[in-house]
Amino acid sequence: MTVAQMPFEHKQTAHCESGVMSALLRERGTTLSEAMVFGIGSGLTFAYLPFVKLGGLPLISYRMPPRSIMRGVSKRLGIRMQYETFTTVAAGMRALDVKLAAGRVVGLQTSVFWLPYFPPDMRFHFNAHNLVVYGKRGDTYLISDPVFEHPVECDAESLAKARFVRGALAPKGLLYYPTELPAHIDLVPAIRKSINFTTGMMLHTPVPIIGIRGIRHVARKIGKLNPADEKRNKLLLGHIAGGNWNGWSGVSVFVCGVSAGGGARDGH
Amino acid sequence: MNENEVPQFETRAMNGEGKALYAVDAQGNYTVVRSAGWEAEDIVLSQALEECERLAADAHGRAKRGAASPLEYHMYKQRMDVVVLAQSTGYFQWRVRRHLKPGAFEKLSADIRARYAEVLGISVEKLAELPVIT
Repeated sequence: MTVAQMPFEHKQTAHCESGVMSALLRERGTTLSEAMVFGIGSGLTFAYLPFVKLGGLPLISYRMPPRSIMRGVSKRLGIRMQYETFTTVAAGMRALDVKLAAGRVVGLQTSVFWLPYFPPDMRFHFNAHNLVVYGKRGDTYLISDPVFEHPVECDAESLAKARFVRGALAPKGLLYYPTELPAHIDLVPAIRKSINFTTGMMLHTPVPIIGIRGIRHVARKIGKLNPADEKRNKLLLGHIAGGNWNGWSGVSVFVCGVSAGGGARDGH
Repeated sequence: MNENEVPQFETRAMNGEGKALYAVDAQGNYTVVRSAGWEAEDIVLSQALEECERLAADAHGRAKRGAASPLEYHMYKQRMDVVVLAQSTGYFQWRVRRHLKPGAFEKLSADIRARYAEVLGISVEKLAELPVIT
C-alpha cells in the first residue's frame, strides 16, 4: 500500500473549482487567492437554460460550466495542466496512487453523494465537485476539500465510487494537476482579458437567457407565476435562491453554484 | 456585505460545519469570514429534503401495497429519480420505469439486480427488501 503524505496547507474557500485551482497553484509556489483565480478564470455568469430539464425544473447557473475556471486560468496565465480520465476504476485508482507515491498533489472531480465526510443532509447527486488529494495512509486518502473548514479523509472504496459515478457531468475519474508554471506571472493583462470576457458575456450575449438579459427574463417569469400552484412555485423559487442541484438539493448549492432541476417534480 | 453582516444562522444540515464567505472588513478590504449558515438556505434545503423524504415515503407505501417494486423506494431513498438512476445504470428510462413495477422487478436477472444494487450502494439482498419504517 502506498504511504505518502505531502506537506499541504488546507484553506477553506467559497467555491470548489477555484478553491482547488488556487490550492494546486499554492502547492507549487504560486500564491493566488481563490477570488483571483475565480476572476481570472471568468467564473461568474448567469445562465437560464429552460430546455435543460432534469425532472421539471430548469437549469440555472451562476458560474461557468465545470472546468472552465481551470481552463481560463491556465490559458491566461500560461500554466500547463495535465488532465487524465480513465475507462476503468482500477486504472483510475492506480494512477492516483502512483501520483501520490511520486509526491504529487492532485485535484479530482467527484460526485458529492458518495463522499462519506459530507453531512448526510448535504449529499446529493451532483457530479462536478472538486477536491485535492495530498496523501494516503493505509487505505485512507487524505483530502483537502476546499468547502470544508478542515482537511478530511476518505476510504478508497467511497472515493472510487465518487470518482466513477455515471450520469450527468460524469467525472470519469478525472484527475488533474499543473505541470508547468511560468517563472513570472503578469496579472494585469490576464485581469483585463478576464473582465472583458465576463462583461462581454453578461452584457452583449445575443441570446435572451444569458447574462443581464437572462436575469431580466427570469425576473419576468417570476412575476408571471401562477399563485394557485404554490408547491411548484416554492420549489422553483428555492431552486433559484439556492442554486440547487437537483431541485431537492442544497449542496452544490452554494458549494458549486450550479442549479439544475430534478427530483422534486410534481405529479409523481 | 460588511464583515458583521455575514449571516450566522445555525443550519441543521451543515452539521456544525462553517462556510467561507467574502465580506468587507473595517478597512474596506475583502476578507474571508466564517458563516454558520444562511436562513434562506436553511429553508430551501429543508424543503428539498422534505420533498425527498415524501417521495421515499410514498414509494414505500406503494411497495407495501404491492403497487410498486422495492426498487422505487430504494431509488428515492438514495435521492435519485428515474433520470438519475437511468443515467447511472446506463439503462433506458423506460426500462428503469418498467423495473419499478413489482412484476417486472420479480423477473429481473441476477446481473441486472447486481447493477442496481451497485449503483444504489446497497446489497442485492437489501434491494429486494422493503425496510420497516415507522
